[in-house]
Amino acid sequence: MFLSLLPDPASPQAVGMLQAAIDPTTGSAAVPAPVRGLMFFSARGAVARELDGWWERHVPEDARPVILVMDEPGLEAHLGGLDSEVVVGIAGEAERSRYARHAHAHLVVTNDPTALAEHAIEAFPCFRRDAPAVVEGATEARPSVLFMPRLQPQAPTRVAPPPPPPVPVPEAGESLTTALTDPFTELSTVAPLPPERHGDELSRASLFADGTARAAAALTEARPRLGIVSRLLVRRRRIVIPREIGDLVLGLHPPPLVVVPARKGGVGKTVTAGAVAQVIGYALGDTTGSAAIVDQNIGNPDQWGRLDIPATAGTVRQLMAALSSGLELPPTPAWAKTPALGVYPEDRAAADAYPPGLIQRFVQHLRERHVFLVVDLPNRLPDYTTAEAAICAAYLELADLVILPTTDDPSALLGVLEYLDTPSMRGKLVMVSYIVSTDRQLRTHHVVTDLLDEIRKRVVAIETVPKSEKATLAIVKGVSILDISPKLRDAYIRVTRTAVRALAAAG
Amino acid sequence: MFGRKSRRFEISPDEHREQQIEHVHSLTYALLLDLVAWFLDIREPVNEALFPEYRLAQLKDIPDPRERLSAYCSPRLLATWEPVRSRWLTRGIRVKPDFGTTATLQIEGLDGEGPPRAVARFTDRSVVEQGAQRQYNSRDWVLTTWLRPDLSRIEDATFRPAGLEEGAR
Repeated sequence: MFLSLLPDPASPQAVGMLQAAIDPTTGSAAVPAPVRGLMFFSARGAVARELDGWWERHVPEDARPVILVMDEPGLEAHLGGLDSEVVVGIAGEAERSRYARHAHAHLVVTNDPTALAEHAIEAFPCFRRDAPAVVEGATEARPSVLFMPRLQPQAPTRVAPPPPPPVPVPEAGESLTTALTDPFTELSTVAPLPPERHGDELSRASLFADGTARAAAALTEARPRLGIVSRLLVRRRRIVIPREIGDLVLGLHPPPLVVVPARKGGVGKTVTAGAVAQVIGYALGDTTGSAAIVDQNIGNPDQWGRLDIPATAGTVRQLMAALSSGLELPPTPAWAKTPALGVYPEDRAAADAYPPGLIQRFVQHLRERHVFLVVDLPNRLPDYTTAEAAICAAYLELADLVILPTTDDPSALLGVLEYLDTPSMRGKLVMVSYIVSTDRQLRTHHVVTDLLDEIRKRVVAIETVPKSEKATLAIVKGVSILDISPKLRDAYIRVTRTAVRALAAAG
Repeated sequence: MFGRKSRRFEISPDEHREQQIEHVHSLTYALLLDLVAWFLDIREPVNEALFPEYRLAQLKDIPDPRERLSAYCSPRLLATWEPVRSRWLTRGIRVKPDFGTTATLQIEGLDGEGPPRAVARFTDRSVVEQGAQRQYNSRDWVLTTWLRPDLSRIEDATFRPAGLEEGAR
């Protein structure tokens, strides 16, 4: 919206030039103001009220007004706080200093008011113009429009942003119509900070630990101050995770929910859930995000319960209770020694299902705090006949990816197919973590390969994990499966990478 | 009985709550303004005439928005935002921020049950420009801040598009 405060007889001419040049598809317009020059800004009393009314009638609320006005003594004093861009005709270069603090003022050295219209036509994008000839190697001209922050209507800031750094040349195939990001879009990729970690909250350290709780406490306390250096010093060993995993995870929004259910036990479900979560935790170790591993194997919490859990560690049941009673922030999770991994153990006495709505709130709660969620589910098909089955059904409803673990035991493979046939799995992204037997005859038996072929047709990927007694040893020793065997570690890194890639590909 | 000694020097619970609300409002407003100034690399004191709602009087004369932020935001939070800002600055995008006039602020946790939390909803009507491309934003955002129990500092804050802040996918 262009407003002419130019004097007659130039004003009608300038308005005519603007109207003739405006691209009609932009919805822009040019109008002469009823009062011209400095008086437009300095009017008081009835005149000011008349002008306010005129403004409301002619300037839409969402329009960007551009005012054309010739310089007058004292004009600059009225430009502060003005929520418009102003094109000012000044008599000479010396006048520029008067407008130095008004970055929203475009100064044109001229005595001809119509020159301001010409300037506006050149400077603003709402005018028809020939497509510029493409000159190879030519530098793109910077727009002459400066933008100012405005946080409230009567008091826009008048501070222009600094000259931007060189605009990167768009890569081949990059469209100029791609949406531009703003600071909030960038900031929205940042997950909430994990709660401050304290030594007495390192309860689940033994799940993934390779040292004492004291060392873990030192690690987590030092992390904010010393970062990676401290971790290298304290941990001695550093598990190297492909950077791709962390990068992809941080690009997923909202935080994905990965569930690990199974039809039958003994297929490595809890190990798979824990290993994937740990890999993600390591991948996020140098970032600001964190992962969460949640025990919802309510019928068999021994896998987690046998581990050393201090009384202060909040359980999922406590969290659910807090959420259902309206408390805003349930107890903080325990923190595994794995960098950036929050652990949510289940109450050992838990046996009841949670209402689906409460599970939804719980997942929402986790998504506000972590960037990646892994839930260990019961060995049940999803339905609403039992508490465990209902838990599976409720989480599957919310899941972004299902990881079905299996061995090459045909009953386990049939269990995968049975799981895939359930209504809850319709439309779900599914991958299989397949523990391959050391027995060649078994793993190459046609029953096994036929079942695997059938499964392969129905899932996004099957990742193999070598069968290893070290997995059992890890449980016996209370150490992480990633720490117990390089082969297992590499296998679960592959499983995790495939999972993350599938999530990223699914958008 | 009605002389000088009878004057009440202790504030009432209602007045205390009012002060708390006012303080959280000030912090939230300051966070929004200082954060945007920081991202746009604007190093100027806060102009009282332009931003009368900026009520952190002891900070407004500090030109560096990062320094202002550090006075009331946790170092962890600012450290988290540092790489985001650096990444954004390298894009060479210019912005005329405009957050409309109808922001709402919901404050919870002042009764001591859980950490205080403030949820501000505002509309981003900023103009974003890069090269020859110009974009007129119109998007609702939710700024959630978690504060210390004594309201002395913002411990954490997130920006989420309205509608997605509840974790919807």
